[in-house]
Amino acid sequence: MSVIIVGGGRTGTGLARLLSNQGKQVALVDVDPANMESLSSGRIESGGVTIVEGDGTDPRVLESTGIREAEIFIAVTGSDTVNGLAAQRALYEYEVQTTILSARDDGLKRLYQSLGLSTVNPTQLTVDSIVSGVSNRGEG
Amino acid sequence: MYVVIVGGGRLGTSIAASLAGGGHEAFLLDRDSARVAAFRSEMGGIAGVGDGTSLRNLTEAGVSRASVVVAATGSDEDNLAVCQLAKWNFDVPKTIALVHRPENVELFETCGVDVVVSVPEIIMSSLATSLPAHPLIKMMRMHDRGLEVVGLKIPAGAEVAGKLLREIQLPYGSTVALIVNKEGRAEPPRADTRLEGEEVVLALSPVAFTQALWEMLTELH
Repeated sequence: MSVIIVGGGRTGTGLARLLSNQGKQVALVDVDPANMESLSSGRIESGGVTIVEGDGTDPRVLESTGIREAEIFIAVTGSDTVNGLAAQRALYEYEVQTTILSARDDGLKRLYQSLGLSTVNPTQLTVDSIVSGVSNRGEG
Repeated sequence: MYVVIVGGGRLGTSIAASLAGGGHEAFLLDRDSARVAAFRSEMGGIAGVGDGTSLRNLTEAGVSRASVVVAATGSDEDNLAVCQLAKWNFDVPKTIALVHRPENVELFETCGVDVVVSVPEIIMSSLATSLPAHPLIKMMRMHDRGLEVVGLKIPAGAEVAGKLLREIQLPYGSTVALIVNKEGRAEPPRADTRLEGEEVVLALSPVAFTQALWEMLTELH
């Protein structure tokens, strides 16, 4: 199964490592791969991560990652609107079955969800899991 | 008509100023307070500081009563988000996005933007008229009909030179609308009009067949 991840920040590199360790073929796209040292420092046990330098909203870059055969597309750059454009291109122009994007702005998150895109806010997820951890501890 | 323009760069401010000059109520929204201040003081326009991809800032700009929203920032992805928010959250009847990358035109249309204006293609079309080659000039696109008006110059030694218009089988749906001869005289096309070469032809063409039309009329003998 192949996965394309756009955005090589902490979320993107973390996901790439996790998915490749599960045996998936991962292409990780970033405009500046020099900043992705956290990937090489982590252990990749199986599968593989191909690093692609380029703009993840650019169709030529996406085609070089093999997007036509990809099953999952994940857009997690630091910009909500870049993620929105990249994910809609993946969905409408390449018909990738599963597209997931990150949006920190609440209005944009709801917009993308209403357009049928799976949208998550990584910060909110982290906060929620910490808060629930704190509450569980309190109850226990 | 109330028009909200998002993005106060050169393009956005010019659009806002000319809409205001044309009697419309134009409001310019930009993140940068210095740009907003400059637009107010130099052009006397109405403007506010805010992010056009923020629901709150769009609400404050009165987008819910806008007839048209123009997304004219320098970033294609922001322009798409502005138009989609305007359309889906505020029911704006007409959204217009500028794109700086031609490959985004089709995607933006798929994503529901009503009118997509490709900045590089517009600049090319005005440059092209002064180029010596035989370029294709895209003059106007009728988005809702899938047609475009194009201009092209027939080369002196073209395959079609010397032929009558009725002898030339144009691509499906293409029509020659006007022929401007070497002397600069414009003539409506007739079946017995004979092309000589070096005319400028204005034609209406389905977007998908424009390239074929251009090749047919400019191919050399």
